[in-house]
Amino acid sequence: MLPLSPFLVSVALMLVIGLGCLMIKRDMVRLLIGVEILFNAANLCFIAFSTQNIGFVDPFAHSVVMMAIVLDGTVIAVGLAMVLNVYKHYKTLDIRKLRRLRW
Amino acid sequence: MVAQEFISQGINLPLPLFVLLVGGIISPLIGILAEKVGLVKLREAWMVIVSGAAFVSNYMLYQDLSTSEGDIAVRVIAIWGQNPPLGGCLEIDALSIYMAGSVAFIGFLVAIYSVHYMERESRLTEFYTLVTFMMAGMTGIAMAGDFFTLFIFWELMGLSSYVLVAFLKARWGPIEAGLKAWPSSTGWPER
Amino acid sequence: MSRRMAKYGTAAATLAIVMSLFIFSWLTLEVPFPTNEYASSKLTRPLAPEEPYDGIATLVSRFLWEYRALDLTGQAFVIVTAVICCLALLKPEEGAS
Repeated sequence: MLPLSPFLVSVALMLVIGLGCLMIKRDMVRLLIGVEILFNAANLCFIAFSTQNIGFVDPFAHSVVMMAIVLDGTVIAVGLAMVLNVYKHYKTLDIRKLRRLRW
Repeated sequence: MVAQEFISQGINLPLPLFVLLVGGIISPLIGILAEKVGLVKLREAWMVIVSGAAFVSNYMLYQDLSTSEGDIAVRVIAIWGQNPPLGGCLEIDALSIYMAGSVAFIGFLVAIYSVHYMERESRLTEFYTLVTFMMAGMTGIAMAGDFFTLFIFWELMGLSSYVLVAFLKARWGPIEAGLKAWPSSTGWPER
Repeated sequence: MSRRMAKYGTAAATLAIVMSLFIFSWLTLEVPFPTNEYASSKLTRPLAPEEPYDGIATLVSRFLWEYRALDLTGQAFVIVTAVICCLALLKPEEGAS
């Protein structure tokens, strides 16, 4: 049985770092990396809680994480295709230039 | 959450979900066939047929549910004999039928309307496939009995909707809207 | 107002992030998480023994196919949808289709 606190501290750290990356960075690809960091934080949280049985590992959390990794890959792929299209129109990757729509 | 009847043999999806999923899988093949043979409206016809069949099968499910005995009529469908609480299941009650029925009805109207609206666009195969998968995702959300099943169908609906927002990619408007729809909709369900 | 926000925005955001780092770390280390006290013991779940470390993957995939086949079927459809999404976004536009 592994100690839980280091895992939870790293999950909290990764959440804050991912959110900070989403808030601060202006490059669109870096925003995608921030979303990826948030995904990894959530998956690590599941795996951390699955080790909390003495001598056993809970396979339910592992199955949730396996499905979530696949979904995360598809979402990032679609996001990257969208970033490509944005570059074709705006000729820049700066997200602060996307202000033509009101919201 | 009273289960009146357990149907657990074979692959036993409820008919609206099955029709929409299988129709969505066959739709790209129909698109390739339409381009090879040269039939112009084959994809639109297939989409109208699939959404009409989904609406009719929702009505049939409603009839089946309303004529069952007992106070509360709920169908719990567990495929391949995997029961809750550990197995994923679909749980259908009157609210699910109502939501799935409205999704299928509006999808049917969308299919009829977009025959003329999307006449001059390109990539029509992908358009109709994505609309069908989005309807399938919404039907699955209405019929999910487990949070994990809900998450899977939510992702199906969300993925199709991000691309459908940004579909007309020749103009800057849909592209910017798509890039704003994607993080604001991704941020909530996963966390 | 917006010029001041643009000047001090980055510094304020960094300060907020560092403070939330401290608060989260303190919360995690000081407040005890009774994670297993709320789990009901009536729910018996097939747990996988962790001793042969390289056999866990096989056991997890057996668990998936035995208990979560519906979700795996839905996942297959999600992957097909993702492929068609990328096709729709990356195909060049011809004239009238």
